[in-house]
Amino acid sequence: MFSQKGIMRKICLLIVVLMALSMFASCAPAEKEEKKVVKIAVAAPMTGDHAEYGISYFESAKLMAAKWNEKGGAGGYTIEVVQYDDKSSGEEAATIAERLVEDMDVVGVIGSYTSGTIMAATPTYQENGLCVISASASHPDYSKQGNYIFRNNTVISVEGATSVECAEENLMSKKIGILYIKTDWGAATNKIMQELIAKTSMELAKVEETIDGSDDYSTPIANFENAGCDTILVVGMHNTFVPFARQYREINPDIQFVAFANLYNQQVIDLGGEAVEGTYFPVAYFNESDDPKVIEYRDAFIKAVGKSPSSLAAQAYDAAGIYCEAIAAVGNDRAAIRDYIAGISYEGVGGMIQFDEVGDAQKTFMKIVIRDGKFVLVD
Amino acid sequence: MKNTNQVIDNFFADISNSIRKNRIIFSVALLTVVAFIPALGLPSYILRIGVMIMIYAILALGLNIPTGYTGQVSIGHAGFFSIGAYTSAILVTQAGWSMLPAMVAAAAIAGIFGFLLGLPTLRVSGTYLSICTLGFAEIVRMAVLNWDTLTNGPMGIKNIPYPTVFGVEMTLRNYGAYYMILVMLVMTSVFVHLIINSKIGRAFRSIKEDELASMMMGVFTMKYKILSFVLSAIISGMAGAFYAHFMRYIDPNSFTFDTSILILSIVILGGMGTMRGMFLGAIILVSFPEALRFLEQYRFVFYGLVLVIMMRYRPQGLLGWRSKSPYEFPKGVDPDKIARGFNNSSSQNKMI
Repeated sequence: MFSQKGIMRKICLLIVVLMALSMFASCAPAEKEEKKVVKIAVAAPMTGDHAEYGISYFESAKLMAAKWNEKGGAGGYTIEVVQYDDKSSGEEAATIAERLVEDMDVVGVIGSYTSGTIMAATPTYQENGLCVISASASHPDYSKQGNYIFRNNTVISVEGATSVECAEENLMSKKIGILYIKTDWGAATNKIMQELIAKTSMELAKVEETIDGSDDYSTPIANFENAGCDTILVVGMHNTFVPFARQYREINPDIQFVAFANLYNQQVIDLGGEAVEGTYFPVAYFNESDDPKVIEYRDAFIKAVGKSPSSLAAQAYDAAGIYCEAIAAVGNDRAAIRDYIAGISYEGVGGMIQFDEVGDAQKTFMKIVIRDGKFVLVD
Repeated sequence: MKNTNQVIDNFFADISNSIRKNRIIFSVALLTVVAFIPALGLPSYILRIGVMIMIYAILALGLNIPTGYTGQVSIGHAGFFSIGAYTSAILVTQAGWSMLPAMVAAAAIAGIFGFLLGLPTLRVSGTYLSICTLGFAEIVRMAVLNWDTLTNGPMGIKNIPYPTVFGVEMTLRNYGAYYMILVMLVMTSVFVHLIINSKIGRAFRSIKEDELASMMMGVFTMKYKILSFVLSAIISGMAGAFYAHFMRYIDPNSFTFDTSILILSIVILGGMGTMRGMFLGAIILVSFPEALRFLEQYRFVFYGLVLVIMMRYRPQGLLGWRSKSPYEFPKGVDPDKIARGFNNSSSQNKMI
């Protein structure tokens, strides 16, 4: 009886302390306000399955803001990066959007991770005239939702063209197969890849679909083998690609793989080992680049987070940079910022960024191959 | 420990009794307050949370019928929610229907699926039934994901028009969405209240208390169990239709297992088999994640902690106390007469 009461008291005390602490924490930044502040909001998953990405966006945006604030801010404004966790849920993203459009200090939003999440929020952003730059949305219709909606992510048709080039020129493929995951990105990419392959001399021998997160690929592998494919184009994240590559190389060690920029992730090599050797894919951002901007960002990111940034984090970094430059040029005015961004030519860590009339960034791609357990740039 | 719990119980029961005595005045007063919330000039994101709370309250009222009253625990209600949302979205965007008929169709189609899901209740019960419902929700999600020609598969349906009633767009800005869902919530509450206090409702509760006994008493349990699923599905489907138009973009990820669990948590936390609990449960579980935003990454840790503590000290649900007021007999039933009848028969037995 006594001990139970004691525990209860302790729990209550703990909760009170936690609440007090968190209130304190949330109040703290407000005390040092003197200069005019504008906010860039990162609305992305900070908890849940995709937390890794949301946190890396937030950290990247903070690095960019710190860089500008050190120089004395952008156009007389101190830039503050605020985070809003949407845990990859469209419902939460829509609520956050409603909240952000009313906070007039917020001049731009970066987010979210999946297209489905951000597309539940884009109607609100568009109707109220607040810019969103997504660093990772891949849904073909995402940026068509309005003139305030921008995408600083690879456009599939451009990225895919480089993948097809890898297969045709670097791997000398004759018969190609496509394995795609059944998500918005997978389905859209598959469609575009089929069109791109049809324009080449390669023969599209077999198309197989799979559910994101499955781990047995014996059926698609058998079908690819029967069709006589020499190269497989894998439209999937590393959780699809790695087990698929491992299982396929056990059956046919000579099979070749071509994939997409999302494989630019150290985990692919750590988990895949021998099985992913010789895989070709395109990237827009490369950590090993000798560009001083990339080196500066990479080192700062490693210092802050403890590991190398992904290309998506780099895209979020550039998105924050675009906002900072726009704020420096036109100040705290949402409509003017939109117009500025629409016409921007921004030299970021992921190359030159210009938005087309739809709001998609046009990027150039480099080819990467996995050789001896390392990502190597193809000349 | 027991004493504290008893004190809490009595405290809640006292409140409930006083509310019960003046329930009509109380509901009207509460409704008036809720109806005037938009007039306070609150930011629209708070109104949006209000709308989400009401959507989930409707879903919880729906799930409460099989789970709270009839004792058939379903962990697949996101399935009905999804069917309702997709039906209405497809009818409006592809077939050019207007919203209200599409909503009725959504409720009807969800009801048909409710009938289908009700069928296994004849053979399986308890945890096995729960797994059936879980399977149902997954089948719906996979069908929505793979039936590309109808549902646009993983790409989702976008640009769903706002809810419109007689040509007026119901948005958050003109408070239309808020009042529309409020009207739907009131209608659902009245509907559920009437059902629960009818012959059907009494049959539901008797099945929950003792299925075998109610069968022996002449309750056609098969019919009522299926009916509880059908009614529940209709309500969920209607909520789904509103949700699709309110969110304006739906994809298969909007209706996952998490959604089912959230609805069930509202029912359990609020208090199974009560209507008041559904409102409070929805308010707490929908608004907490927003209210705890200042905790950043830790907010769901805290959220979980709150749930655990609540369940530890109120396992029957926050408002799930047993009513201490005397049982009200339906009209035309005279308890004294029944009691006399029992006495007579027992004395007759003695004579024999």
